[in-house]
Amino acid sequence: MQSFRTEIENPVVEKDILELERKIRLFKEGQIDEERFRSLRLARGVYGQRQLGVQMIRIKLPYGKVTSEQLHRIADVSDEYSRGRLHITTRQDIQIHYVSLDRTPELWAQLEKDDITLREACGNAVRNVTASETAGIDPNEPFDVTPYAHATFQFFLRNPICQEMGRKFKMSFSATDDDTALSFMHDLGFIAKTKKVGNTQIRGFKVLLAGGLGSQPRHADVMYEFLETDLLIPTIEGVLRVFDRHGERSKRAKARLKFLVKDIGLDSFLTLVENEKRALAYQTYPIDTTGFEQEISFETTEIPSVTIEDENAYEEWKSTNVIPQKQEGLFAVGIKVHLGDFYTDKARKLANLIKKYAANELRFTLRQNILIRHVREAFLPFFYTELKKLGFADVGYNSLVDITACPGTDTCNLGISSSTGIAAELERVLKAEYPKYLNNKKVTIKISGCMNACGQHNMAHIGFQGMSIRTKDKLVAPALQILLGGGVLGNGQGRFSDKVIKIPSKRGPEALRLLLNDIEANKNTDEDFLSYYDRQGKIYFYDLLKSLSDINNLQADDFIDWGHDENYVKAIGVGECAGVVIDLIATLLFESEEKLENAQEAIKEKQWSDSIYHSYAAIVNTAKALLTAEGAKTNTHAGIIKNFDELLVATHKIELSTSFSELVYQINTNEPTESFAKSYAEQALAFYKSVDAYRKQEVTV
Amino acid sequence: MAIIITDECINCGACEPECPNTAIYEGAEDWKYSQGTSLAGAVELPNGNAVNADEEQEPVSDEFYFIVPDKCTECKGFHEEPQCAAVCPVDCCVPDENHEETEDELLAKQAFLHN
Repeated sequence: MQSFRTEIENPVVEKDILELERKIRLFKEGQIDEERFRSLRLARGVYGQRQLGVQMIRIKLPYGKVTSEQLHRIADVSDEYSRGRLHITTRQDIQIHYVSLDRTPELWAQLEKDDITLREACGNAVRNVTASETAGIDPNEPFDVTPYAHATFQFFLRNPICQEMGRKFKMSFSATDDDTALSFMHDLGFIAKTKKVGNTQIRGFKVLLAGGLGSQPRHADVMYEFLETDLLIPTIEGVLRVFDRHGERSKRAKARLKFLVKDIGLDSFLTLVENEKRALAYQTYPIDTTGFEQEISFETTEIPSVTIEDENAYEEWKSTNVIPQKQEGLFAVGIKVHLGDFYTDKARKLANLIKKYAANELRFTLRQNILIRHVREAFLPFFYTELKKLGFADVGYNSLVDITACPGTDTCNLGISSSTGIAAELERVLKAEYPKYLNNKKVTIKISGCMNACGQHNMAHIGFQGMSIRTKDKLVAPALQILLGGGVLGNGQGRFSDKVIKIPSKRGPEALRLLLNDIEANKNTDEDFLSYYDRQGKIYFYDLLKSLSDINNLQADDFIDWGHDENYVKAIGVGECAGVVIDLIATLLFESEEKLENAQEAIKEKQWSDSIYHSYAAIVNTAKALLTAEGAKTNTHAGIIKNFDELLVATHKIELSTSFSELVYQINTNEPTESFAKSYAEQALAFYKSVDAYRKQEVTV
Repeated sequence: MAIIITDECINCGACEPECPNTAIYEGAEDWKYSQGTSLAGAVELPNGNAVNADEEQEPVSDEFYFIVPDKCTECKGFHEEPQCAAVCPVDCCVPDENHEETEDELLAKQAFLHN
């Protein structure tokens, strides 16, 4: 273990990794509470998996970008600590499985050598910031969103305002109105826009707020039609502060931002954001884009000579997988990665290829694929033959045949029935029976193993969701819910699909055949999938598929899920991607002490805004401890503040010179100055002391 | 019969937004007769009990999503089949043998909730 300690150059990162190591030790010695430990490890990308005793590690890759060196590093780490498989997620991360908990600090230290983090990849934090994979190369984009996505990632990483929120928070950046980063289903989604002011063109974003998928999808509201880029970071900060204060914390299923905005309404929410303005670390925050505007350079101009044996196959590949870039003469090459899984031997060869012959950059995409950028036209035949050797030249990048699926019951604790198994089978059916869909990019199929929708099934044209079905004689078979009519409409608009019917999993391929045959027979030539769906309506498709839902005629094979050879067994665990409610009063008070220390620490570093937020968190957490002892509700910070005044201040159990809410909400009436940071920290300490004294007295009585 | 959620519930919440009567709540959640219905103030339920529709009631279950039998019409008057059962991923919304009602009773209940 000693080895990695000395090698990390960044002291902040070093502190993080050593803390993880220390907490793992304390946890194993039984000195820290299991729930507490879980929320700490989650915020460091260490997740549980279906198999006991091993961890899934989520590697946070902002907008899915990696260099050759980073890809080599990830491959090395996977071979050393995992099993050599890399899984691309729908949020542009890489996940590796079967990692031993003890080795996670070491693994993290290895990744950091190439500037890759695990921090806040899971847990109730700002998750990976995603972006259109074509950002920076898209001929239709107003400007490259990459520098803005990057600044967002950097600004909020380790930021005290978003370390212990009620739930996770997801942001995306779309390059164009096609909205390929799916802004309408994010907590905050941004679409690049420009506006003419006088003679100058200014950059900004259309901002979408409080969308989300999951078992209760919600379409985002338009927060701003145009927000100039200098206000991007302050706006996000305001939203996060409001979410931290008003977001639900006790009822996990209602804790996402979408429920808060649904409850209080967009206008009230915007007013709350406005009220946070004075407390913000920056009123405007210009983002430097020059680091992303370097000239594209190449290692070599020498084109290795290749002979294309099958000219037709090459042309087909070019038409489905190669995208012209906005940079004249350059092309992006798409690799269709089956279910987002690939292996380290190929990853290394790919890494070498992009370093030598492209411009040393690729992006993992939202559809679990790979997009190599900056390939010169003359190099395309060479890339084709090299990728073909790796099995990376399958046609149909981003087409109907390119099915998205979450890992489902393969490794996920929450999976109900197989998602990857049915995805593979549907791809097989499509290739064998419907080859003309190989280059159809207008219809998408997405599959999730459960209602949480990591496979985004409820916004696809055709979606499948894992379920189970119970027969009259109490046998349980794997099942699929079929959803239809979702999709991306562009410019921040999207549709969630209708839940049409539930059928046994083994009839999934037949359902797809019925659907595609019906569309071919009845769709008018000028209709797209959604117009056809709307014309016929949900009931029409329910009737079309109804015969498949009959469970009185199940065969033995229907009880075996796709990709398995034994009978299906329902085994569904509890999600752990979020914090659990910590109700131990002593633990809460101990945490308050930590927060008070953090506030002092930040003062030493002259980080006034950070210090103020630590003091705020300490005050609220201390109040929560006492309310918990009184058996009162502590669902939100705002609720805690209100209840504390009613139950402890008004009753003179705790004596304050002002009301409790006046004490806390100084955070909104003061700018983040040195003098306020210091005075607020003192008041936080004084408050803690009075509560601690009261508590000790109560316990001894 | 009203529908009941069994202890096989995985707390996914898929059923909750489907209910046309707002009869489904998350475990441990207080609920009201008035939520999602046209009931208000003092009312007499079809079973003769007198309640205040705006008053918070105790949760039926602390662990799982639950259906308030007095508010469940098995979707009669709205849909052909109970929607919670149709979307439940694990088939745990089943007929409640302790609350058997005829179709007429269910329709009357539906009319009472949404008059």
